Amino acid sequence: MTHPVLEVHDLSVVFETFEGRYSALNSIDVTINESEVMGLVGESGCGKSTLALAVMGLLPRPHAKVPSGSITFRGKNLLSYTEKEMEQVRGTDISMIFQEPLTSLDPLFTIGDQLSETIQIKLQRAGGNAGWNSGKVKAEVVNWMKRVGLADPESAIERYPHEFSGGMRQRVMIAMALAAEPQLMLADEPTSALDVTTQVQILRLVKSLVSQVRASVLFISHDLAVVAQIADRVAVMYAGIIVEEASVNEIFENPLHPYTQALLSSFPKEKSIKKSRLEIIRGSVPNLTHIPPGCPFHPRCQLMKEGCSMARPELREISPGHKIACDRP
Amino acid sequence: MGVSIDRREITVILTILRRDRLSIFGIAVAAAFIATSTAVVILGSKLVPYDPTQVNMMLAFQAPSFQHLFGTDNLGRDIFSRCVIAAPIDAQIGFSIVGISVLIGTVLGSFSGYIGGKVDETFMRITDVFISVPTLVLAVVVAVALGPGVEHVIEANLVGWWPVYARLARAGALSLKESQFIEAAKVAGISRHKIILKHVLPNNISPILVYATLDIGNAILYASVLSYLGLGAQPPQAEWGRMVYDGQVYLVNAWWISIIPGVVIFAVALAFNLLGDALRDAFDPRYRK
Repeated sequence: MTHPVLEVHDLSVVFETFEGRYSALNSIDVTINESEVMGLVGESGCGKSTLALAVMGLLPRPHAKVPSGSITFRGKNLLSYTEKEMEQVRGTDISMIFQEPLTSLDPLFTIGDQLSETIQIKLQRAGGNAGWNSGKVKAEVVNWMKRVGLADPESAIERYPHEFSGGMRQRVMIAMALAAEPQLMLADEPTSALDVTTQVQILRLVKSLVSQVRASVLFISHDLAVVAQIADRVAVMYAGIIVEEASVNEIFENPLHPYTQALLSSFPKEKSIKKSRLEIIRGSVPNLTHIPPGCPFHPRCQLMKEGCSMARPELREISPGHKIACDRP
Repeated sequence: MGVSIDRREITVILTILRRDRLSIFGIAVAAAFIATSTAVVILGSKLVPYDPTQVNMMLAFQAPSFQHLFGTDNLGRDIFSRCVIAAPIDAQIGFSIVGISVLIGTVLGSFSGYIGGKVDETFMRITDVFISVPTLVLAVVVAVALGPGVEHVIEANLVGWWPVYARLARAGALSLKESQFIEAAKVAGISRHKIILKHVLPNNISPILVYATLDIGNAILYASVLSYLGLGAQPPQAEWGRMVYDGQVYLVNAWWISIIPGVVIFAVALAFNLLGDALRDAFDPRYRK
């Protein structure tokens, strides 16, 4: 029996701006189990990052509102936490890595300083009392630099962020995110700014470290190939809703939602590279102020029928562990 | 962006500072000013050739000569000695006004900008009140109320001085607030106060330091104006603004009594302006090539 670490239920997020109400998340349900890597894929602007920020309690206030839903972490609803209580959760229980390793480190402090900040917080919260330069913290910093595969960690901790390459900085970010051994790590497109070879290395690193510290991961990406390499289960998002959720093999071998099918068929296939044109999904992502009624994908769906524009389909279980939000089959 | 100060960085800054003749002048005069002030504080009147407060009517109204480099005033006091002796007073005034303003303004502005919302609104409306009154007028009013004296000149100027730094720091904090490494720090569970103290303040400081250097000249100028109006240092203590005032009656017959202290004020104010300009260029990555 696997226990859920994070349960997001019926979560909606809207942004109120001068141009109108953006419905960024529309009644989302996601569950992440212990030691599970959940991949979250979707086009730009479909609400992936909003979900991560909502879990972190970092939605840009006062513009963002949460009209409904709950985010349950270890049996408690994070939405009811105060800012002070959230500060206690961040970093040690839930951590996060970002897309831009180049700008995620403070340019004024050495790598070692910044990494030791996280380790200190962990020690403090565990009840320990560690001074800034105590040997214990330093040993832990060096240890983590080794674990993320940085060569010569002893001298690397004295260096500044601008002396590191993108891949190296992302390794530092990963060390910072995992050093406190959190139960959940949110990874928001952590490899999108890196070149393909570095991407593979970073993915392998994340995968092995995550299983070592037994953390669950919400891995956000717009790249199905990346998700295929790292995720155990995959959820596909479109215009603020989850349209399909299944194990990684199911998603790639037996996609049931028309949007997932369309996404996968727009991948170039080895055999057909020379002969045929690449499939595309016609139309474009709807503006979040005017999401189409009913199934939000229906205007672009090739299998659209009459009922699709009437009621929004519920996310329902088709076969064990495989859910889709489509009324067609 | 912030500049991390290490040895290489300092070499680059020095190279850039050396490239321009005007900035060399700025550095030289500012350095001389600071060195003189320190020397006077340590050595007192032993440093200068004549006693700066010794009245000797036999020597009154001597034009500049090798005996008296800057001439003597209506009471026969050596103007060169008086100018040198007055240096630490003006240094104290200039550095105190700017230093305290930087301290108050940077901390207040950084917190205000980073926290935002109602806190920010409140602080910024308070600074608006001070900014809306011309600094000099405000300083004169406060100085009159407090009475004459060097400390009062500093206090009077401070009232209108810090809001500019609060504004500057707030603007920096607003842009830093959106930067990814602050977001990353939040995600790491670092508390708000620690983020402000450890990440916002240090990254905010370099533009403020540049502005502060430019500003020291202004502060000395303002302090001189107050002294000229009789609100600063009191006789027989020597002070540049006061010396300009004392000599203006004799301007036609003995121009040096007023003009030379005026030129000294001008040179020091200009030097800090040039130094500030040079520092700005040195911190600007576009000038580095």
